[in-house]
Amino acid sequence: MPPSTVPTSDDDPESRLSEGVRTFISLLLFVHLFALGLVFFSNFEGSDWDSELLRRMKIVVRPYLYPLWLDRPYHYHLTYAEPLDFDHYIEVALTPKGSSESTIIRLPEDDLGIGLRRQRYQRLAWHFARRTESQTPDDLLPLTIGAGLIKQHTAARAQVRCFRKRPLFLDEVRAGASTEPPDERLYAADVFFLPGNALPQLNKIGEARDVAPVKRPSDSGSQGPPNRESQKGSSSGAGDRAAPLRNPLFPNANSARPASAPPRSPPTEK
Amino acid sequence: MPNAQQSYLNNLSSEFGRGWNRFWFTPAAAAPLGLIRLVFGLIALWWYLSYIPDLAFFFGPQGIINSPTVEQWRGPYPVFSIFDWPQTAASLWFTYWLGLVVLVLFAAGLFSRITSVAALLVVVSLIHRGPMLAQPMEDVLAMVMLYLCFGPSGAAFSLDRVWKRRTTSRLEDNIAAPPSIGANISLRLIQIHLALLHFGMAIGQLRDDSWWMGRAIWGFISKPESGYVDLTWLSDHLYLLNLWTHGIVVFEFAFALLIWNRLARPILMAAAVLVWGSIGLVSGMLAFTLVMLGATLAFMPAEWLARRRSHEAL
Repeated sequence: MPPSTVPTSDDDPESRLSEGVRTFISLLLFVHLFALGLVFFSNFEGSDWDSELLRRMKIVVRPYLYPLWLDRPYHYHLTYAEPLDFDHYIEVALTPKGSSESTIIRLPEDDLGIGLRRQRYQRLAWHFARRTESQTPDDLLPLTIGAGLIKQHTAARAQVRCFRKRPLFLDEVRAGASTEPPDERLYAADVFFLPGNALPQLNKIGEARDVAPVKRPSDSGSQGPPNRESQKGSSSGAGDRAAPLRNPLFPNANSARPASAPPRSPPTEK
Repeated sequence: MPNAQQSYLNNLSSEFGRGWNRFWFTPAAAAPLGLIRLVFGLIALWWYLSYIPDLAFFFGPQGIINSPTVEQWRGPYPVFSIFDWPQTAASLWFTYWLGLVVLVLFAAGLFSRITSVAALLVVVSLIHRGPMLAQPMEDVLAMVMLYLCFGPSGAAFSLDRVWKRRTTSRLEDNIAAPPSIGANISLRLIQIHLALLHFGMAIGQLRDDSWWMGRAIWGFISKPESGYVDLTWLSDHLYLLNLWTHGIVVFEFAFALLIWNRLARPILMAAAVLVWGSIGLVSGMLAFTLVMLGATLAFMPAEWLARRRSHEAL
C-alpha cells in the first residue's frame, strides 16, 4: 500500500480509470516532473556544475514554469555566512523642493519587528546589493525606488544608498572583543527628474566602498582555516588538507575562493 | 539469449507500469489534503494581509516598484497577474480586497474546486507583481497552492464538507470523505516536490565550506536582531554549533531519501518540527518554517486523521 492511502474495496488502481485517461494523466505528470527535474538540475548555473545542455533545455520549459512561480532555485542554502547573507538595508535621503535639508527613509525601518514585512524589505535590499555587486551591475532598483519616493513625497531629488550590516564574528565573540564598526555602504546614487522628462535620471556616487569588505562571521582559526585563501598555507587543525587539486575536466578551474571575493555569479538565492 | 532479454524488457515495462499506476492512481483519503488546504489557506491569508501596510507604497501609482521595472525583471516570459491591471489606488485596493475574499473562501473550504484555482491565481499574481520581494516561503506557498487545485481539497476540514454532511443521508458520507485518485495525485506531487526541495537544499549547502565545517548556523546567530532568540552564547559551544549545522544537512538528505519508508516517516516528521522550528526561531523565518511544516503534512499517514475523526464521529 502506498503512503497516505487507505484501502478500499476497489483498490486496484487500474479498475478506477480507463486506460486512455490514465495514459493522458501520466503524460501530463511526466512532462511536469521532467520540467521540475530540469529546474532542479539546472539551477546550479554559474557554478562548476553548470551544463549547457540543461540550461538550453530549461529555456523550453520556462514559459510553463515561470508563470506558476515554479521556476525557482530549489537549492536554498539558508546561509553560507557570506557577505551577501548578512542583513542589508536601503536608505533614501529625500531633499524637498526649495530646501536643502533632507529627510531620511530607511527600508526596513529600524523599529519594524521581525516578520514578513521586515523580511520583504530585507529581500528588496538583498536584491539591491546582489545586483549592484554582480559582474554586470545595474541600477534598476535604485532608479525605481528613488523615483517612486520622489513622487510620493514630491521631493526634488533622492539619494539612494544600500548598506550591509556587520554581523557578530565568531572569533570576536569568543574572545569577548566584539566591536561595532559602521555599516558598510555598498552603493549610493542621486536620483532626480530633469524638467520635462518623465524618466528618472541617476548619478552614481563614488564607485569605491566606504568600508573594506568584511570577512565571514563564522571564520576563526580554532577549528579550521579562517578562509580558503589562508587555507593554502595552513597546515594545522581541522583544516589540515592538501592544496586543492585541479580538476582535469576543468583545466583552468581553481576551487580556492577567498572569503572577500565577490559572490558566485550569478549569486545563489537563499 | 534474445528471448531472455525480451522477457526481461517485458517484465521491466510491466512492473514499471504497475508501479507507476499504484503510485499515482491508488485512491487516497482526502482528509490530509483537506488539512493542508486549511493550513495553507490560513498561511496564505496571513501572508496576503501582511501586504496591507505596504501595498500602495510598493505597487500604487507612485509606488517604489512600478510596472516597467517589474516587466524588465520578469524578462521575456509571459506572466499573468491581476495586479498588473490597476492603474489607480482605488482599483488596486479593489483588486486586493477581491483577492482577500477569494483567500477567505479558500481557507474556509467553500466552493473549493473553484476557489482553489482562484486562490492560486491571487497568490501567484501578487508574487509576480513584486518578484523582487519574494522569498523561499513564497516558492513553497505557490507550489502547494498549485497542487491543491488537482485534488478534492475541500472534501475535509471545510464548509463544503459541512454542507455535504447536512444534505446527504448516506452514512458513509457522514463519517469520512471518500478516497479519491485526485487526492492521491495532489499529495504525491507535494511529496515529490518537497523531497526534491530537501535534497536540493542539502546539495546547495554542501557547496560551501561553512556547512562542511559545521559553522553555517552561526550565519543566523550572528544576526541576533533578525531572530526570535539570541543564541550568541553558543559561541562558547562550538561542538553544539557543529552538531546543529551537520544535523540540518543530515536531516535534509534523510528526509529526501527515507521519508518514503513508512517506518521512518514519523521520526522524520518529528525531526522536521525540530529542524524547521529551530531554524525559524534563530533566523526569524517563521513563515518559511510554517510552509515547510505545512507541506510535510502531505506525508502524514491518513490513518492518523481517520482514527481521530472516527473518535469524533462516535
